[in-house]
Amino acid sequence: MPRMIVIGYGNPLRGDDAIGWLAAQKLSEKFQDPQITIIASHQLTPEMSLSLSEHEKALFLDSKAGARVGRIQARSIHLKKDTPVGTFSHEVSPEGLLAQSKLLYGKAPKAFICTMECEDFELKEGLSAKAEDNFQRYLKAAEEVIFQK
Amino acid sequence: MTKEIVIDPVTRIEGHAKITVFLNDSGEASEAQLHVTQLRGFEKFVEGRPFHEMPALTARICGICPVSHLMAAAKAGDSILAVKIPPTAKKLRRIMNMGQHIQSHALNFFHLSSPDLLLGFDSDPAKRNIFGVLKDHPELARDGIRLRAFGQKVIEFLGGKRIHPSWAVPGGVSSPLTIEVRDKILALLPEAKSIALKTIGWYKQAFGKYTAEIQSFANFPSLFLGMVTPQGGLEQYDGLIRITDENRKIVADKLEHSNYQSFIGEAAETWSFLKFPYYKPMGYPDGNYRVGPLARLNIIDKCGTPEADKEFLEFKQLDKGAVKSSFHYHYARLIEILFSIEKMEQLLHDKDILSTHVRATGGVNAFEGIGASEAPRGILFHHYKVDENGLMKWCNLIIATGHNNLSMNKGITQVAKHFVKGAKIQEGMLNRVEAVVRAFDPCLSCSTHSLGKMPLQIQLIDPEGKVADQTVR
Repeated sequence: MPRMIVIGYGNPLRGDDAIGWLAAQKLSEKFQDPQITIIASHQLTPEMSLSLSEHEKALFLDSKAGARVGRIQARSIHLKKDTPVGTFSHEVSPEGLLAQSKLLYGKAPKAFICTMECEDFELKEGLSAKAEDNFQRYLKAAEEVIFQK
Repeated sequence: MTKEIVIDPVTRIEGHAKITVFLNDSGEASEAQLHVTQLRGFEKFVEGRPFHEMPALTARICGICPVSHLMAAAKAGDSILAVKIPPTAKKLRRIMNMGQHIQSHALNFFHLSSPDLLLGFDSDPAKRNIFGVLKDHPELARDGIRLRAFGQKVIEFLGGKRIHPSWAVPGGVSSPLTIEVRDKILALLPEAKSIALKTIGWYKQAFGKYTAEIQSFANFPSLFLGMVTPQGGLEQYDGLIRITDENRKIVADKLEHSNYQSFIGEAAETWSFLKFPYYKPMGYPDGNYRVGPLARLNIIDKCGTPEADKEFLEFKQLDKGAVKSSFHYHYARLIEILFSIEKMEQLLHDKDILSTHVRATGGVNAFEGIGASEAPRGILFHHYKVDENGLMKWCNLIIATGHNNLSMNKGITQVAKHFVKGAKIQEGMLNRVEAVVRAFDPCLSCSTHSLGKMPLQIQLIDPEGKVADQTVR
């Protein structure tokens, strides 16, 4: 299995925004494999590009604002020549981080992102009932990407 | 006819903000306002929670400066316990706070502000971002990442978590420093120091080409407020508060943070959710003061470490009296990074730093507690009231961005008057209006990245409310 990095991000005080963060916590309890680095973070930050460059495969875990609550999507991220970059510091994108990794360190891992569509981002701890109902499915989808050859 | 330009949101600052520039009949800026959508619900949200949860809880307000809230919350908790924390715990909290200053300052300088400094304020906005820097100046970009990663590692080594460490607790810290962790940090210090010195050297030869910006970026007399050591040195964690004026003359000294309500007032304006703190004895708005790196260097007599003191002496020569241009927040930030690295080294060599006595215990001995510390952006107050069971009844947070609110507004008006000409939106002028805000490095507590994905919207609105000009990027 190639060295892999999993980055789950979101604000645990903003309802379903915590999906990626919570999933990373759960996965880190389950997997103690030295081949897998798991990070739970409030947000994506520039120095993560360095960590990305040190791995062969990456998985980002995030929530996605949308009306079809519970819809889970896993897809690969393709670096394009003109990858759009975030202008705002608080929304460094996975694509932006991968581009940064490639530009600065000469390599970027094969990358995927797994999202769950959510609509409750109010100030509170814990997921909405709908997101909670789908959380195990979300974890399963993330694991499938992790072990996908 | 008066026209209005709206810049919404300001790019590359933490959170959301909107800028409105009012134009007079001649097409010149007459006033500018920074509108902040601040999350005030947090103070209500924590009511009923045990006070000892506050450090871990408030650290989640923001992904950029969690340690600042952690420190202020832990100190407010110390007051509720009414304990004196062990000296080693104080030193360890200091070290973590320095890690926070380094990583946060590095984020602002290298990732948010360096595109303007390296590529120019008038350069193509499509390239004037961190990726433009990566392509044209990869070494500087790598240095920025190394420095930020160093600060993050210090936090992670001490707290066990990089983003939301809950290691600082009421009464001290939850675990002592091990030899292994101390040596790991010590091993990283030389590279960090080398990057800091190199970057200061680069900045000193680069800022000379921005004379117009230095003259107009929130360059005005004001008060400066922050903590100092008992010897008048640079302080980032604890200490008495000093206020100086534009001539570096001390206006007030040795103020206790626990008495903040006696000297800081909070005014409100209808057009902003963010309050406008001011120095009470001088009234509103005359009691306008600045906080953060520039203010800290303007109130001190010295930094207190060898290399930082050398740089401080040069810094002081920039202006008569206090350094008044907010453009030099950047310079001050770099000197503070250097100071943090040097001071961290001194503390790690302290003879008691490995002591295992790092936490004082106690119950609820006071129903009110006030904690303050110097966050990267300026002084931060946490004020709590609890019941006999230690449950939160009331909370007030005064964040650094709030302290600088008056100055940021005055600053964007000044820069708009200098650079905004005519009713047509031009990229260079807009970027300068935004850049003066970025110089203050406001942290508007980006509450959720999902909600934060907004395009930059710029509108020109006439007095009848019609959109005369608009652009989205």
